Amino acid sequence: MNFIYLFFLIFSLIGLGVLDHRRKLVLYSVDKNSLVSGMLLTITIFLIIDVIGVFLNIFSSNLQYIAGIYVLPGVPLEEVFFLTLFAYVTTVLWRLFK
Amino acid sequence: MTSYLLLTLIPLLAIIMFDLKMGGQFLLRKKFYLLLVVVTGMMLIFDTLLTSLPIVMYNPTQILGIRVGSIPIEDFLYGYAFVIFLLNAAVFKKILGRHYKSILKSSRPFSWVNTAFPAAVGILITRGYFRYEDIALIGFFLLPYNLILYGVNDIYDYATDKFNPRKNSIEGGLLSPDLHPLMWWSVGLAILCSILIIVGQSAYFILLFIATLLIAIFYSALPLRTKQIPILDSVTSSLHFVLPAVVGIAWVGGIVMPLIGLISFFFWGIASHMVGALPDIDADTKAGERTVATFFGKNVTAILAVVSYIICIGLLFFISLPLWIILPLCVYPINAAWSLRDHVSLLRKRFRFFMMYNLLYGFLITIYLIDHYLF
Repeated sequence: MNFIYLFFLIFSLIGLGVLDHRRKLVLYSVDKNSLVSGMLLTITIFLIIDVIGVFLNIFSSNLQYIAGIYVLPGVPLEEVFFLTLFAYVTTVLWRLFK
Repeated sequence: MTSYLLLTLIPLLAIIMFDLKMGGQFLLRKKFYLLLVVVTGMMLIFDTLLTSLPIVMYNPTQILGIRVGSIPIEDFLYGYAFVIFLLNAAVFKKILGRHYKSILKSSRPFSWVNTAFPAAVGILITRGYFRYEDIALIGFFLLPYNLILYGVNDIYDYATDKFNPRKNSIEGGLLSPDLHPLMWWSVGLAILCSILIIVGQSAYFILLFIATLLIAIFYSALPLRTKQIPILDSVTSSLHFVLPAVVGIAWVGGIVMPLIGLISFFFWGIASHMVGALPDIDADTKAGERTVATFFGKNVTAILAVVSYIICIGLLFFISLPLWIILPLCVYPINAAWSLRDHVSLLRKRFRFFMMYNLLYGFLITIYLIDHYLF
């Protein structure tokens, strides 16, 4: 049991949040509602893919680096934060390129 | 070996197809490729950490084994599918939110159990108990299979269905032409789902499974369209329910099929298709469609149905089933025989009764199976 991975994920999310706040890109933009609902839908779909992956015995998480809290069968809490980070950083980038 | 590849490639291909056909066509923009390059760069850093420490571990038997540094190549497909999906999520949500009910209605939710149940029974009578992975096959025959069968059917049937009062009820909805592309897309996705089913299965299973899908598709799709060929329409319609059981048996490695039971079920399916075709005689004739009922006429078709039901029941006496399972089946031929006295306009009631009685009889079989296998 270890919070290191979770810590870095949250740390990165906060960093992105600061950038987002300064440049008004995603959560601080006018169309934040549609962006957030799109991110939530994507995260949900990929959590399902993760569950299938765990179910098919394709991947698993190393207990040495995760908190050991599972939100879905075989899917640790960190995966939710990972997908959130992935969705957030991609949306921020997409907005930055405009 | 290819599990992870399929798990990532299927969503990737699906979302690329969606993006180009119905989504935001992000793949045609320069900006997208700039994003892709940056995301790839970030993945190289982040994923190297994840896979080299490792935080995420991969089962070597399930991946291709081709790695970029420590990153399995499939991870990139996962990432790209994620990015393209994210960009299209808003479009996806809008289309899905507006039309999911029509698509779902086309798959005949009332009949889902009619295909999932035979698959579950096939598994149970062969292995004697269920395993977790059976959910995949039973789940496939619950929704995706029905979406393929009835989705294709509703697209090709649009012309005749306009005259058919039965549609737009529990037996299905009228699918307007502007929804046809979305339906093709959903059917495609359902077929892609089936790839997850056949991974790692025997050639025997895969052959049976593909045959089952082809019979479902070409029941209504051209050039075969077996639903318009009298007698063959009843046969293929029956196979739609018998084959899920056969596939269920093969799923657990059964090679020797319980033939008497399957043939009995097959005759039940033929007769039931005839009962279903009877109320549509007028609509089908008007639309120029040929079915077993328009070919033989109302009374002969009803008699054929009764005979098929009797063959179905008779065969069951050759396998050891309790009488309380066999005798309630007699309601089916009685219901079909009643059609002889009914005016054509009343035949819909016979079919409705048939649908409802199915639920009751299905309940009886369930009780028997639970008692016989699970305790």
